[in-house]
Amino acid sequence: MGRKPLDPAASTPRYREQVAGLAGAAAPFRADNIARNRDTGNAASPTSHLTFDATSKTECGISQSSSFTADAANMMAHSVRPNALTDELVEVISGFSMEKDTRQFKLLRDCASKGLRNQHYARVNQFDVASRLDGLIEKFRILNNEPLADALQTRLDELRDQGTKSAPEILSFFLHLSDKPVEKTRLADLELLKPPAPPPPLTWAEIIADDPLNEEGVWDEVEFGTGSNSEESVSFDEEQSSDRSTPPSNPAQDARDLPELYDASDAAQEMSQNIMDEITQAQFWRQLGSEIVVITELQAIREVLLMLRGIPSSLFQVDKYDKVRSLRACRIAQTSISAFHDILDDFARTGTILAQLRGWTKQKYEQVLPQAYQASVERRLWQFDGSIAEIDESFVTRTGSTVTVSILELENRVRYLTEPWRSVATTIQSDRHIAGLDFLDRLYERLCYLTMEGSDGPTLSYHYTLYQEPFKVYLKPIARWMQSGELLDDPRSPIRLADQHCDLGRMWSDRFELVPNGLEHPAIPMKKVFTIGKCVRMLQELGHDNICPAIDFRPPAEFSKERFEAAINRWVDSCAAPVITLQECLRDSAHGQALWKSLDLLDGPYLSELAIRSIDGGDRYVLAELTRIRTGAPWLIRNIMREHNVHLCIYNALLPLYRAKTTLQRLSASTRSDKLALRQRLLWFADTLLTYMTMDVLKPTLLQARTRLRQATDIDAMATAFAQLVTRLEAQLLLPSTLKPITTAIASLLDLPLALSHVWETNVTVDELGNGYVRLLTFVTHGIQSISRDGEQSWGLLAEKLSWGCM
Amino acid sequence: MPAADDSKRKAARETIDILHEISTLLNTHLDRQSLSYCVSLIENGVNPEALANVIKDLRQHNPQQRSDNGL
Repeated sequence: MGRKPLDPAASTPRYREQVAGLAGAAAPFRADNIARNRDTGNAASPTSHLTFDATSKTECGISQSSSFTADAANMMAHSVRPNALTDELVEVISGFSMEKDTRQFKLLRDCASKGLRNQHYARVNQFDVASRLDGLIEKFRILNNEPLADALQTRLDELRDQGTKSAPEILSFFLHLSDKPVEKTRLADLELLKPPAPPPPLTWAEIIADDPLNEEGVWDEVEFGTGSNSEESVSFDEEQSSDRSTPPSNPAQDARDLPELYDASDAAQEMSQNIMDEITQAQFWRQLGSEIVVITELQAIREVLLMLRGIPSSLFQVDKYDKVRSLRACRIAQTSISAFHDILDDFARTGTILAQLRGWTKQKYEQVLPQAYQASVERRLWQFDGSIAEIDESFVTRTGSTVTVSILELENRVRYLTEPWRSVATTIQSDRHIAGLDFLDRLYERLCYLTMEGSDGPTLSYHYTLYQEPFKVYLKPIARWMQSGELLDDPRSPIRLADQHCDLGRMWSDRFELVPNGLEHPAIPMKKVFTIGKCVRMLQELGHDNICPAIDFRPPAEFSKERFEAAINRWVDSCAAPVITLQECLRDSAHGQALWKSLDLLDGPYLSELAIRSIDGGDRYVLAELTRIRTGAPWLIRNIMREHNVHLCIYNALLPLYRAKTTLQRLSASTRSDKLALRQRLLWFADTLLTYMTMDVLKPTLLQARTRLRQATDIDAMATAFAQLVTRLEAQLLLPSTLKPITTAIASLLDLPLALSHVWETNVTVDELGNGYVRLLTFVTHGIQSISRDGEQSWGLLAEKLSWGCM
Repeated sequence: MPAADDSKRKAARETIDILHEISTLLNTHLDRQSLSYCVSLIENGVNPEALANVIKDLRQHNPQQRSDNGL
């Protein structure tokens, strides 16, 4: 409480004077006030008009009545500093000063202020300014004044190198003010600008020459005693050091030797006792006691303004719960006691809200989001204090204009200014768990609620401004994750490090996890954010740096749920470059080649070759190759082609087919027609299944997978496409356990060639084998037919082909 | 950071020096003090033409204006 809104940027003494005057050091004003009231008489009406300098209207002919805009806070910072500068400027240029020529000074200053505030001029066109300056330089040259032209050009170039922001405006100003430079300017004038060379520094030789250090006693100990003026007891004068026999407390000596002292009594002005009495009387708070003191309306207003700014005031009391209570110690002449006290009570209620808000901003929170919110509120309160200070200033600073003194008008104004604060205070007070992790969500809900309710502009705007700071703080870890893949320790974040040391081949799926915890902002697409960060990490592993420049989130100027959430989505999308970069990496470079090569290894030709090799006895080679398929791909590809055994499944499906075929093909010629017929049928069966696998399953499925992988926009999509490939292959190879009876029957069918080869050379009939073949084939065909109704299309094709064999 | 503040002040001084020289070359009759006030006002958003008119106005009221040769 009791913070004064000093603008830290301003530093001129005059400004500090003004602020000191504003902040309630009201004695000089009150004296004047009383003098005026005596002159004009206290009006009987509730509002008394107080006219400053009623006789001097400005030369411009308009007496300004002050009008306040609601958001005067911004004006505070801008208008007070130029006012101070204006005063200085008027003094320097016109030669009149406030102290000596008050009347003229004020006239000129008011005119100047009005003139400066005039906005009816065109904006400065920097190209126009540049061309005019070029024209001037050209003129200098034409009139044979090269040195001047060069001098001007050089300095314009130097100014440009400085990079001053307002350079075009300043130069335009010079051009307006310039007075026939072509005729009147002399280069010698520049020389006069240079400061005179400083005198050469004093050397020890000169000092010693002037006053040699060999006098008696010059090196003895000096006694520092307390003189008549204790601050001047240390003597720097070398002359005096030779007189040290006398104590340095000799006033005459001091006065003679030491530099001229500033006599403090010069600063005091004689005042008459009347004025002293008036001042003492005006300090009404000295008279508070058992009786009710009558004060002026203006005094009451200023006390109210003090209270609103959290400064101790004589009309109000604040208890330890920050509750403001009006004291019944005073009254004003214009209204009845009860009416006056009602007004004060109304102010006290407003003051309580502000005091409680101020008290809340002092509370310590450990979480960073509530801290950010507190900082927002504090900043806004500071601006509010500025508005109140401006109102106060209007009563103190005499601008030669009329100011209305009305406590009722103040009530209205204050109500308007504090309306948004009531809403904010309600939010804070109703939210006992500000320190909770979902505090930000409740703020957002409140914002949306206010929008739906059709809440008025300033209130919604206040809440929105206050929300933005903590929201930006909340976004920081998310932004960090998306831009550099770094995870900050943030309890709100659903992104966690799951397995820090997992294999690179499983980095995408296993290293990080997204665990929604209900604390994410509803508008943030967390899955997209998660993907982007993972892409950044992957790219870092691949050796890419500086993947995405940091882009800040820009909230929309006005709040609506749709606009805000759209802005968030746009921001996340703007950070999504790494996803595209990673995809390009996968498609174009060596990684892309590796991906397609890995798919080729699943295709019929290669695995068939392995199967044949195996039959020919190349087991070790085959085993090595099969392992290589699994582990040989680059780690980036392994993130897409997650753990799978599909190549083994394909191989294991192909192997018995090739083995059957080889066995049948190696059977020697025979004359037994039944054996030949069976051999033929078994060969047909093996071929049919082989064709099914290679042409109807592997080829189209892999082709489809390739297309899907090419079209995928991120690794998740690619991994999904690959997983789908595996599932489809497994299904079409009849691997699901529900199809075991069928696969068992097929396996039995494929054992028949071996059985046949055992009896090929003998006289045993093959009727039993033949019957077995028919039975098994029928079973397999019907089985596949039945599953094909609801399943893969290729099953239907297979069933149809197999059915020809049943005929 | 004192070093950064120092260099800022030094840079501001250099700019004012350059501006003072330019204003002298253009014969604006501005001394260094007035110039720095004007520059501050312009940086605070005052319109240059408005400021120039105000200065001309103020000069007319200066009793010493006729003998003033600008520095």
